[in-house]
Amino acid sequence: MTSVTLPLGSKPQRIRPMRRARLLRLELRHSIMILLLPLLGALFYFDAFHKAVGYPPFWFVRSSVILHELVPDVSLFAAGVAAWTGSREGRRETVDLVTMAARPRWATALASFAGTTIWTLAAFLGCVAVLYGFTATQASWGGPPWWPVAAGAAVLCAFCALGFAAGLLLPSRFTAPLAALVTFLVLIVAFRVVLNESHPSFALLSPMNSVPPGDAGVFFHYFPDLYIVQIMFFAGIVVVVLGGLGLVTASGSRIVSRTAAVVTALGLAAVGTGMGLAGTARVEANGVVSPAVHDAASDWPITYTPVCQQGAIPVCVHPAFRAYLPDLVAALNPLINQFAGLPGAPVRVEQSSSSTTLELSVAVSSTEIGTLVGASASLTGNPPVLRLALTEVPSQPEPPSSQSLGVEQGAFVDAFIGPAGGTLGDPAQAAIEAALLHNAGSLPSPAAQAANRFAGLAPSVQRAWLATHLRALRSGHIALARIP
Amino acid sequence: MNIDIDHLTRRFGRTQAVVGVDLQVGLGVFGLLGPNGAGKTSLLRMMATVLQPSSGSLRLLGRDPHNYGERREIRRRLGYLPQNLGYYPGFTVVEFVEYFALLKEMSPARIPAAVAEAVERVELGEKARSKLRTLSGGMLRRVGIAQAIVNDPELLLLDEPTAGLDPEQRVQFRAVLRELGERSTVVVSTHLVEDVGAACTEVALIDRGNIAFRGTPDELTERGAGYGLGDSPLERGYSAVLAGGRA
Repeated sequence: MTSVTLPLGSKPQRIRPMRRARLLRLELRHSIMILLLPLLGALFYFDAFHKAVGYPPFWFVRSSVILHELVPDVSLFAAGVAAWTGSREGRRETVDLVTMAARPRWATALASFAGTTIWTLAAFLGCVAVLYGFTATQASWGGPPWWPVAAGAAVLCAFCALGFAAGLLLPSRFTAPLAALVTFLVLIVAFRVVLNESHPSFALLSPMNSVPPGDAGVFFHYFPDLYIVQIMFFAGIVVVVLGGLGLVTASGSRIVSRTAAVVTALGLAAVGTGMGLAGTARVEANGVVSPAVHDAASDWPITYTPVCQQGAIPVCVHPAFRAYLPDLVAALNPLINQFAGLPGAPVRVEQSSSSTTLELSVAVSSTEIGTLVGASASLTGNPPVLRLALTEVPSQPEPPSSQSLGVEQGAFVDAFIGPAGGTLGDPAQAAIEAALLHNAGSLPSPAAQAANRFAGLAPSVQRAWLATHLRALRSGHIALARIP
Repeated sequence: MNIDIDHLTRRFGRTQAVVGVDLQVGLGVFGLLGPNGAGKTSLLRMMATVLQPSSGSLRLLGRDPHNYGERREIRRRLGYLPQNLGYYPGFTVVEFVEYFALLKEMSPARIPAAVAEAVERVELGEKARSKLRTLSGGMLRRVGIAQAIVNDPELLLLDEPTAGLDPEQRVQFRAVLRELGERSTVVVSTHLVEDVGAACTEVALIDRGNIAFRGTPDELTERGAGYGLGDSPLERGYSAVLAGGRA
């Protein structure tokens, strides 16, 4: 027998992009994620989309469902499918064939991971496109926020990587459902319960814990700080996991081992930095601030030209609330007609931001947009301007509810007859407010009697009495018995 | 020599699967015969660079598989059909063979033609676009052979390649083996002595991790002269060697 003569020490062939593309094409064509796309679409429609269309057509409010609903929904499937794909060689007993191939097993694994992750991201971005496309037909102000989308994509990549690694290292048909279960536990239990109670700052790393204030992107820029921190943290996890797989599958290759070690170290640095930044985060009125990545330019309010409806007292709102103006004016007009021309009456009613600063733990545990929106009004400046925060952002095309308009009427009266901006502490003030708002039934008996008396007067008589006694009423010097 | 093995040993815990094997193999079809559990598959997996030897030295295609760079070179020139062929049910025949061609780092430009040729060679042209889940056991075995030969390997390792093939396919496959053996080293591990007799130029009989016999099929046949156990002369030689070794 004769042996084949081979050139010794010949250099390894370069892995050509074409080869990678073909491998990726095969992985994409056979990803099990394709089978789940209809299910994900249905889940999106009935959960995230359904919830989003119940919110007002403001970009940040609508985009909140991306991280609160869509990402957790997709994450469970992504982790499970990635685990199923990762365990393929073990389950199908092709480990020997893949191991004896020239292509490093790490590179083969990365192609499989990429196949699942690309489909996951495609499904996610498709859902975002539907959500944003629908919102674009309704929103009258601003544009689509991309930071939540980027953060969501990072989260999904991280769960794909974790699931894939679990499947590759522990190949079994049970790995996929376990990966989905663990993802659920991490998102719901670990972040929202355990970390939220012990380290609320770190709980901010959870995508489900980033509630945008209701007025974000309307009166002020939304801070991308938290999204940047989350992207850093979750991208770091992706890099750590993929680097770790490289270390595990290096099988004696120094180049692969070193590259994987460097990649893992970079990932760990990103994870550590993300955690460090989350630890320094604080919640402010306009969102979560992480000092190291905060851009001071985003502190400036957004300039806008208000939309006004003229009348005895002009009423102005932010252009995003344009559709709300006719109903607001109709609700306030009886009061405006009563107060116009009185001493200290506002020359204009102007909408103000409704966001309030929350404690960190409250912000973390809040997932409903409505919980962050308050109702208040204040009379400030000279000549006085009544600044009114709307209690409920409108949900177009539905008109605002009579209940919310009633709250705004109350805030209006509070600001006007209450002591220096709002809180009614005096029984006479409460009685006059109740009389003007026709809800005397909520008051204790003496105040209710006074309110009923005042409500029974003709509007011109009420106005004449207010013109004479308003100053004393506002300073709390009117006794209930003096109310006609 | 394309395979140069010196005192190769492989242990699994207390069990010695391969015990100090010395073997040199050049071009041609080389048969590895032996009873179940003799160590054939372990030896083949070490040659396929899948299994690390416990001790001894192994050189394949003039290269040392311990060295990562050389191992990669070996793997580019290697074809391997494992005893239990795993497969991906959703892949078509062409996709499965193409997948492993890509893992063997074949030139992308060469792959379509090479895949088509390999599939034709195992007589699966008509099933090229069929999903693997729809194929019979014999057809799957042929798919496994196609992925092993797609890179036109200089060293082809086949573990029980004819298991599941019908007699006609087996005859055709032996012809393919003889053809491959003209320009590369083909090692066929089998317990079917007729495969060895028909296709192999040389044969080694392994028993309890050791090589009990090495020679041509004719020499093995001669060993069986006068020995009664076995239906064919080669089987009688096989049985005689095993019986002699155990005695």
